[in-house]
Amino acid sequence: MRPQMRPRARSSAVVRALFAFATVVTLASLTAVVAHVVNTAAGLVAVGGPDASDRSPIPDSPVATSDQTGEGEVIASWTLLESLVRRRQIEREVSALLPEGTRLEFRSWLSLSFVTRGYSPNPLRTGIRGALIGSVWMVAIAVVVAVPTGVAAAIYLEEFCPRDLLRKAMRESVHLLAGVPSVVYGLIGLVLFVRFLGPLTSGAAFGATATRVPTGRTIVSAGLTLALLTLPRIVIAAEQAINAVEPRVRLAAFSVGATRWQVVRDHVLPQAGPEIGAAAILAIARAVGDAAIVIMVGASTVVIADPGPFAAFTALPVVAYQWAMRPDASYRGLASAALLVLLLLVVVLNAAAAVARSRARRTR
Amino acid sequence: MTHDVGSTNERTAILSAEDLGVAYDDIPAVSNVTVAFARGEVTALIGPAGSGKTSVLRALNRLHDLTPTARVHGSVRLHGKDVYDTDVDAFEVRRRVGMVFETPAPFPMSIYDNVAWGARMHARTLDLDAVVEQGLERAGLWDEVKDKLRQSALRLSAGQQQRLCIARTIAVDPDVILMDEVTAPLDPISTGKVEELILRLRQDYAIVLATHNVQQAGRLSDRVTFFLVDDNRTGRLIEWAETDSMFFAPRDARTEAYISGRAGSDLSTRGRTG
Repeated sequence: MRPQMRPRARSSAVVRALFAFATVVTLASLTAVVAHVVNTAAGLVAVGGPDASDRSPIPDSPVATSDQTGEGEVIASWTLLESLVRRRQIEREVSALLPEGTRLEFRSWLSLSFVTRGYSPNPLRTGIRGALIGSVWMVAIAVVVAVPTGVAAAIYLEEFCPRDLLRKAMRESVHLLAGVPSVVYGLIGLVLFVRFLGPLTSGAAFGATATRVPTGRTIVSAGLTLALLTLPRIVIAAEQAINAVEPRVRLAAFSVGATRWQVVRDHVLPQAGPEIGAAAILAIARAVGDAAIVIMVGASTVVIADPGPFAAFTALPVVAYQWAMRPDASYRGLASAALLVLLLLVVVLNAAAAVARSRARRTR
Repeated sequence: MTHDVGSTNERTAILSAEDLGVAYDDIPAVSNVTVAFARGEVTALIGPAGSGKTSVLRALNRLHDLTPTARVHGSVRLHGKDVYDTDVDAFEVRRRVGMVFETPAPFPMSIYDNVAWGARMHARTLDLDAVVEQGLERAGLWDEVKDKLRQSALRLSAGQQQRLCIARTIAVDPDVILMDEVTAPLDPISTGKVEELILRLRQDYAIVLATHNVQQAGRLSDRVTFFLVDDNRTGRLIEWAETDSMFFAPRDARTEAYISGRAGSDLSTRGRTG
């Protein structure tokens, strides 16, 4: 026995190290993302006074004039880490290189006013109000449309589908749909909701259009497209949850003469419900950060007024994307702040899913 | 396969099977079963595991309808009407032919709702409180649970859960109660209580009891059917007789071997004739 022990222990140690490495890579990438976003979402900024206004921070924006705000402009900005570690050096640089009257201040791009303010051409005064409202609208529409539809489809597949072969074929199709890239769903949304169903999604059919020229590029279209994207995942999750309902409870219910629907209503859904809810929340949380789909459906760059369901709209990932593409540092801070809000939204949704899961476990 | 019908009076039989067989994915699990069950009698189905007892039970209340791969052939008659006829409502069949399973399967609801759920479904105007009390009373559980009817049924002991499942079955007023190894997971004391209960219920229902436990069959049943697999691993009904005559004078050598504990699942019909 003895001589064999050592090599086996060695190979097991190697395997264990590989697994540990994989875990570290996973966690490290996650930490890197969060660290980067936090690092750029706050830090020192050099703000030029009114006499420094000839340096426009938004070269491509025609309305970017600082005298509208009177708060000055961001000339340079530093990351949180830099601000903490090299504060002295930064102060020296500012007084040596930047024009007279430049103030150096610590700024968190993420703040309450950032969340509650609407669009402004001045990066110091702009906010994500419109984008946040747009994203929340889209989540609400996706929940209302995709959850009942997905659960109903899963119930049909699991409980009512008459033929085993048909059930398998449909299940495979749903799995295939779950793997379709979001940009393809974006295209479907564009063709189906924006163009084909334009009269409905623009609100024109209900006399509710918010724009002078009715267009299908509205929150309703984006929300419905998001619902389409999440639908297959909800069907799959609901199927699994329905499958996990104890077969003996199901058999017992049938054995007192219950119909399929009575079994589903009183036993399957109450037991599978929390699990389905948790999975649906996760699917929607995953989708709310998807920029491609919203851009395809036609998100606007700038939304001035609070958008209603039939209004032109924008969404958090789109705004973050647009800001991140800007050359100047202040917009990078804004992009990070917008992403932080998005992350926070996702964390809240995940927490809700966790609560639903723990409830599911308790009732079992 | 020939077997004596014992002395069961075909006219008093509530439920009867004729040439009944069940196949899964076209592989027969049990076939050529002809048997009848009368009110006021307990009929035990005995035989080694895999000999088709559960398959027969589930064919009797059309539970196989829920398994897409299962096929039932032959006929099952409830009060003379073939339950597999196209104009018969399978849900009504299952109400009248109730079933209790090996693992206690209370619904994750209150004790009250466990009993009331089925009853509520079938008659809305019923006095549910009375139905629940009567069901629990008849299942010998009322005194133990009357003060905690709103408590979750999952907090009862396994034996109590099993009696609750019987109460639940009684509450929808069946004619036949199928019991599939209902005492298998229970301790001896709980088993004793369930056995007493079966003897009490016997007069009002036709009870069909599948069991691995030969002694239990001897204690509880009026008639016994003995199942065994043949060379093709298909279950067969070997003998159907009154309990006393089967235990003291089995007609088939294989029955005798099984009952006396001399042989178990290695028994086969090879080289023997019934």
